[in-house]
Amino acid sequence: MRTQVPVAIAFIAGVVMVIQFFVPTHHSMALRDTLLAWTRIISAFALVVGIGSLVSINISKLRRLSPGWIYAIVTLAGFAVMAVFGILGTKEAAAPAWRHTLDRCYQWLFDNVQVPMDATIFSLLAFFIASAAYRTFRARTFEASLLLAAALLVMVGRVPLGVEIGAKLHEAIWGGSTTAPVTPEWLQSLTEWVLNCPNTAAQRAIMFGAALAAVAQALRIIVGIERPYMSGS
Amino acid sequence: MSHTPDAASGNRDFWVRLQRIDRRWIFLVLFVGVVVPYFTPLGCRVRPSDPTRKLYDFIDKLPERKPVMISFDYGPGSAAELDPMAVAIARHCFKKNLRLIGVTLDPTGALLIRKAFEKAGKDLGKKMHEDWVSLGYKPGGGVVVLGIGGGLDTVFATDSEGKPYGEIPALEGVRNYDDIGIVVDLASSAAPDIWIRYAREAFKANLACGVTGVMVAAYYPYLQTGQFIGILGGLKGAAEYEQLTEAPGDGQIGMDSQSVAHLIVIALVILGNVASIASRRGPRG
Amino acid sequence: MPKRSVLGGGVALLLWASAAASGVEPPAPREAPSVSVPVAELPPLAPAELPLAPPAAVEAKDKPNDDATAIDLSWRPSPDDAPDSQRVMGYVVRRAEAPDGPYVVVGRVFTKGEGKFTDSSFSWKSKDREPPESAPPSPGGQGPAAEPSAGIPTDPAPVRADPRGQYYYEVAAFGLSEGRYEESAPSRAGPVTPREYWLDRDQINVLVGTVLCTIVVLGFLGFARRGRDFYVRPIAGLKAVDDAIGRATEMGRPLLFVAGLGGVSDIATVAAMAILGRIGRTAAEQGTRILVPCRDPMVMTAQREVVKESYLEAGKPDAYVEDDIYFTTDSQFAYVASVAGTMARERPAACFYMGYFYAEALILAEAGAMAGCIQIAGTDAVMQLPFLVTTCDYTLMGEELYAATAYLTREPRLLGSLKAQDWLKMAVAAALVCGVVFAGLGQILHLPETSWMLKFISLFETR
Repeated sequence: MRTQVPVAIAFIAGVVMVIQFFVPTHHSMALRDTLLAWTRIISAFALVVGIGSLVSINISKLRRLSPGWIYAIVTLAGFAVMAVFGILGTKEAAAPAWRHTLDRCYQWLFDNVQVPMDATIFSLLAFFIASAAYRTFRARTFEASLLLAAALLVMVGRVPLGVEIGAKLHEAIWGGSTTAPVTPEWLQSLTEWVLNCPNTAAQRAIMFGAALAAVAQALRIIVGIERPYMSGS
Repeated sequence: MSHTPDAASGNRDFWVRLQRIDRRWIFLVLFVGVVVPYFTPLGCRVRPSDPTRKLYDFIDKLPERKPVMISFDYGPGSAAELDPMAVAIARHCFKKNLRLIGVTLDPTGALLIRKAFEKAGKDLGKKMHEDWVSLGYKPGGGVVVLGIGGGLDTVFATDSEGKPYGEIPALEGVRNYDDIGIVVDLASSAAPDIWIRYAREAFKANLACGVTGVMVAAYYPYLQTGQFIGILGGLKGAAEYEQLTEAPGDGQIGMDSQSVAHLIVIALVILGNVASIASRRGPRG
Repeated sequence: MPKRSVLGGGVALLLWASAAASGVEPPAPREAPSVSVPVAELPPLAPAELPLAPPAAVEAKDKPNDDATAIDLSWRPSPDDAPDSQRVMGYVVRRAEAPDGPYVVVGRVFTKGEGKFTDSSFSWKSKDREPPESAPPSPGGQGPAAEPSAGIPTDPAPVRADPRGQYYYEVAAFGLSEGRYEESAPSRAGPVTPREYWLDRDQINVLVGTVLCTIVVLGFLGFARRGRDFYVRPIAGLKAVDDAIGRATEMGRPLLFVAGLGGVSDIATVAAMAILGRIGRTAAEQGTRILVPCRDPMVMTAQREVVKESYLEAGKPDAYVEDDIYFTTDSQFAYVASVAGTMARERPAACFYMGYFYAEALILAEAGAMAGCIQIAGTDAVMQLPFLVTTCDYTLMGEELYAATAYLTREPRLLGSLKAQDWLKMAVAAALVCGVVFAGLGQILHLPETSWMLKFISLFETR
């Protein structure tokens, strides 16, 4: 019973949603809207489970004074402050002034703490890309050389300075002649071509693989062979 | 050209050492390369690419007061790259007297909507609720996108300020995708896939996207099939859009830094390869 | 946020296939018999002081393949609507339940020239059809505005109509003459009744594709059940998993497992859970701790179940620590910071990155490299593969990750579905080749639309 009920729910919901896609009657639409509303509600509840886990783990870390307990304080304090400001703060004109103040505090913390911190972590990527490219991007084989050439071309062609250099080269060779075989923006056009043609072709091949895997997996889940939503799958 | 064995091996050591250089030197070079052009602009001209121009032309031809939806599917981490896009598109829409609806599938995106619309509409006297509205965040991803097709008001009963849907002039007559001129998804995640699947394919919504520079190559296939009307790629996409709307902003300011950063990475890759080849050569045995 | 819903993926397959094979834009709506009833004769081109001329040939017809909640309207422009004239600013569309009205505004189109409008203000819910309490009296009424007023009037949201009714429409041109609103006499169309469809005919090709895929996959599952053996090539990354766990055990350091940023319905996340189950069991047998920081609460719940089950299978249910599988935050970069911090503090011997990743992949892998971990990654995120390949010891690429469940469990039915995917891929490739050849021949030989080659391509078109 413990396994059969979830499998039956997955089967019925899966089949119903597939059929619904092809049947546009208003009953079918109403059913879809109801199922979607349920999914939204469940997603919201899942967040409650996550927050519960976050709080309980950090409190127990603090209680045991386990290594890194200081970070638990930061996490819990950050969570509490943002939650209180976010829930009680409001922009509604009718609300008391202190709630407007809380909302302004929330906005201030978001703009001046969360935005720069998030941006800092993201910006690390640029540094890591530079260092990883320097250490590992090698033209060891023919294919790697081809990839390297395409990468360098796209990197130059995607920035104005690169396009400007291309235009200067064009001028140096053809001297602004209208009979030149390529336009001064040739580097940008070539970059667009690389992205539009070889890149698109490769991306599509991968998409087909992923789409077919999704079909197979959907069927496995619907018929209950694969059960990621419960243990013992 | 000939080398004594000692000189050759010394040379090779140099190249080997160069390959194993402390990564912090690379970080420093890149840092300088990004910061210096930011304060001393090189003034390179941005030439709009086709995917950007297509989106611009589509929005430019929309009739007055037609609603445009922008989905802010990114967090503050990617805001440096995607906010300039949001502002450039919003400014264009406001200039054309279009209405703007902001939504997000990312919980941290909600606060970015208001900021971007306020920044874009400030000079043009555009007002919240009259000309634009932020509907904020709803959990569920694809479920939300599907839900909008059934009825925008069924997913968002109020805007992010708590004002009921029916009382917002910017949403007047907007029921679902049929009433929206175009949906522009600005994303640092795979949200464009969701919008294609559930808004474009299920409801035939007009769709375009703006994504971070690292992601842009992945979305070109959808441009060719017409599923995306246009694509803005990274900060450059924002700069191109600003160029088209003749309103320079953060995108164009960042272009010089990005140009130099790209050239530094190219130089590093070439240097790394030269070092690799040189260190493999040398006296046998 | 789910990246790729499993069901959606299935349905999207043929959309992709058709888009890729044809690259053809959806065709224009089919011509339908005219139901136009123009009530106003078209005057000759009127000078500015005369009233605006109405639009012509107004047609109202049911929008096909829906739940009877839309009517498509089209019209030819008013003779006053010339490209070089600013007199006509657009067209206003009104609807009524009887030919004589009263007509209420359902939409205003601010475009010149050939006009199109879809009236979707219908609802099956009686609650939606009630007029709002504070609604002002319907403006417009019949024909042109009775009182000429300044500016274009603001129309209230139309009250939704019952899809079971019969409706009449009128369309009038409008503009501003010296700042005052003016409107032409209306042209009318109707009656028209919205129709409900039992099958979305635009999706028939998707339906056929879905059925075919289902038959192939279920067929191979059947073969597998009857004991047919399927070969799967060895996957180096998965073989390395046991070595990495062994190393962690020897060093007395924990393992770290990151299931990516995908949601619970993501194929990559589902595959990652199978790998986690296997890692969890080996770790339990060897008594090595496994840390699983999560970004999605639903994934966290599922992963707790998976690891708990692994400990049960290894016969060490008491060693399972629920708190080692924990939620951090769903903010992308805050999550990265948290995982990188865990790496620096806990110094895991091996890190596994399995699932869907975004820009954070390289940051995670570089942090792991700096902490000196053995790193094994697996993802179908194409854009992140180059980063993971350069920084990790082993990387499962795309479908290798999907195959992981079948490979690790050796479950015949999973192997069967893997084989089915291979055959379907061959079919897609064959359809693509045919599509490209036929489209090419069509261009070269100037084949008519009716030729079977071009008809074959149109089978894959999305509508």
